[in-house]
Amino acid sequence: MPGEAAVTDSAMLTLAASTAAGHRTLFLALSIVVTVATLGITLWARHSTHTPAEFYTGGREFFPGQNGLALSGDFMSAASVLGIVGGMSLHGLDGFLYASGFIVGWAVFLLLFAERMRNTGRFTTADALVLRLKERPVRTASAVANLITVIFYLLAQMVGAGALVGVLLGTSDSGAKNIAIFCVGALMIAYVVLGGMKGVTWVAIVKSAMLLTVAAVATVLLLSKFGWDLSSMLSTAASKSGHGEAFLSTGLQYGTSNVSRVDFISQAMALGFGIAGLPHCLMRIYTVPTARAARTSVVWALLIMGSFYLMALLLGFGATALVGPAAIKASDPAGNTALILLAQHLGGAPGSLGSTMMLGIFISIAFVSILAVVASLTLAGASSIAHDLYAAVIRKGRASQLGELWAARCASVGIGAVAVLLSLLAQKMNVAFLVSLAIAISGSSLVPTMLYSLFWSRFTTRGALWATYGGVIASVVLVLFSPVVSGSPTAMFPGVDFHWFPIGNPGIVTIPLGFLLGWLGTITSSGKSDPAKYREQEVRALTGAGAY
Amino acid sequence: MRNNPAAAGPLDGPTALPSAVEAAEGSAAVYQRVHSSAEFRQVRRRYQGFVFPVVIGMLGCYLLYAVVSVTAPGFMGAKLFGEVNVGFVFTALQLVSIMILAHWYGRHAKAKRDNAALKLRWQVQEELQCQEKLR
Repeated sequence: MPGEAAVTDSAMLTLAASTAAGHRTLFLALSIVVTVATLGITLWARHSTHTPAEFYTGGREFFPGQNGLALSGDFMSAASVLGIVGGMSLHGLDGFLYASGFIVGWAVFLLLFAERMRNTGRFTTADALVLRLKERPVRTASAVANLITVIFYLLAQMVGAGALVGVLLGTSDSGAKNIAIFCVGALMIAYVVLGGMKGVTWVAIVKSAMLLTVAAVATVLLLSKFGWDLSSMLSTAASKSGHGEAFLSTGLQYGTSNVSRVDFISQAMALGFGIAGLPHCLMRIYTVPTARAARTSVVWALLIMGSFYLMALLLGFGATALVGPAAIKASDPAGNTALILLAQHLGGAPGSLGSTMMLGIFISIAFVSILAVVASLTLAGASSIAHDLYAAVIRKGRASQLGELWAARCASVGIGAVAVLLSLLAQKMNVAFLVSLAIAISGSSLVPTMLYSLFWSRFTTRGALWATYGGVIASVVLVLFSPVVSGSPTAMFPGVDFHWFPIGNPGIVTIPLGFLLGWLGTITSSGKSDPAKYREQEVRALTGAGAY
Repeated sequence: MRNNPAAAGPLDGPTALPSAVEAAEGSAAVYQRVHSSAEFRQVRRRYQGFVFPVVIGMLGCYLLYAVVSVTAPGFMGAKLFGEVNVGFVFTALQLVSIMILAHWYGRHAKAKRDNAALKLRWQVQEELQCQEKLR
């Protein structure tokens, strides 16, 4: 008996090894092609990147359709794409909250911010804020909030890249993951330093087009497996999930206790409010020539992401129906590899050419996704350092163009290096928590500040500083003392327990707090805001007079 | 001094300062005039009249979705046709309606605001240039 078991085991191992070798070769070939192509793009973009303005905006000459693809590409990060499908495949509709929240958050950005920020700003969030607030303190605060958001978001993507390699090689060996993180970091620095915004945007466009194509192919294959009958796919998913009909409804993951219910609503709030403040998305509205083009590109991005998430809604349930939760959990307990496993299944029988190809293609696209997103994030962080901190605060506006460009490139290398180092330390962290923390920080600091600055004539510098620093500090402190850091089996430090804040996402407390602090800071200010400056800002925001 | 810019040369330190202040007041006056003009008010009304109710409605609908999701899974699981339940339809409709909304917002802005806003933009920029010349 034991001998028999050993034989089956070794046979299965050989099978796994042969398919693994097949998709590894294909994956390596595809990755090399994509890496060479994207590096080629950035080298070409280098020829038109001579000034800080070109570095930050790519020359403001992208078409709205291109920018829409790039925006959606920045946003459909591997963490979110893999996370949504994975979450749904294990927990039913609750796992789809991220997608709903992203779309709502983008619509808020479109309606309240896109045109007005494009008209009054130049490169970074702070450019629009300092039109009527004090330059140096507000730029410093905004840069601090931007950088903290960027670092947490970068960490999530890099840790995700490490996890993906683990799945690819079928190992949890941290050496291989370290190499993957290091490669991602090196490539991302190369994209940003060489190509600036133009290079990064083209990488995002290529990635977005690839992702949409394969998602559409996968959806068609999935539906055709069930004879185009949605009902039969859903009932298969329900019966395979082990939860029955409840799997197709909501509440499976978060409807179990009042604490988890509040956590769910808190996450929903963070997503709905926080997207609009993400620096790498805000930066993209300056890559097109006018506010009208910025609006059209965000509309495009929303249409692209909406279609993509509709496909993800089907793919998530499809993964449960075809792959099954046991196999998904065996590959990754958090479900992050569900989409990859589904792709393999849709390609054909295990080990067949079709299945190997689908697997290789999906893994390479997940990698390009990570690369494109981390490059955009690094660029946004570098712009904040070079434009807000170096040029405006440290050199007080006397920096030369070349000096600022040099600072931006150095900052890109610095951010890349910090992100790689932190990700090497943070490999076991939960990816989704890092993303939602980044979004909660932006939603409770930058978004209240931007909203007040654009719509409230009495808003003062003190209000902006209180909201920004208050939102950042409150979010970080609450997460530090929440169950995601200590006191729960899935925590970062499961052995100790110093948590007193019951829920994982701080948004439900910190977003109202950010707004409250902005209001409180304003009404307690000794100096009054200048109504003439607000009139100027409003006229410029709505007409585009004097826009860059 | 305003009518005789040649009298105060660019190197004329002490007199250059008051003229700069005057130009600043000039630009503030331009913005104030445009800000209180009927055209600008119309652009702003059309922007806010669309955006404020839509944002409030959308966020309200979204929070309702989140609250119902975790408090009434039974309702979300009620079947509508085949295996397709309320939750699935609510989720899909939310995505589709926001896509339609985004498209509608773009068309509304193009039809109701863009031309008027562009006219105001050139008007402001021309008047500001005149102020510069006066300086």
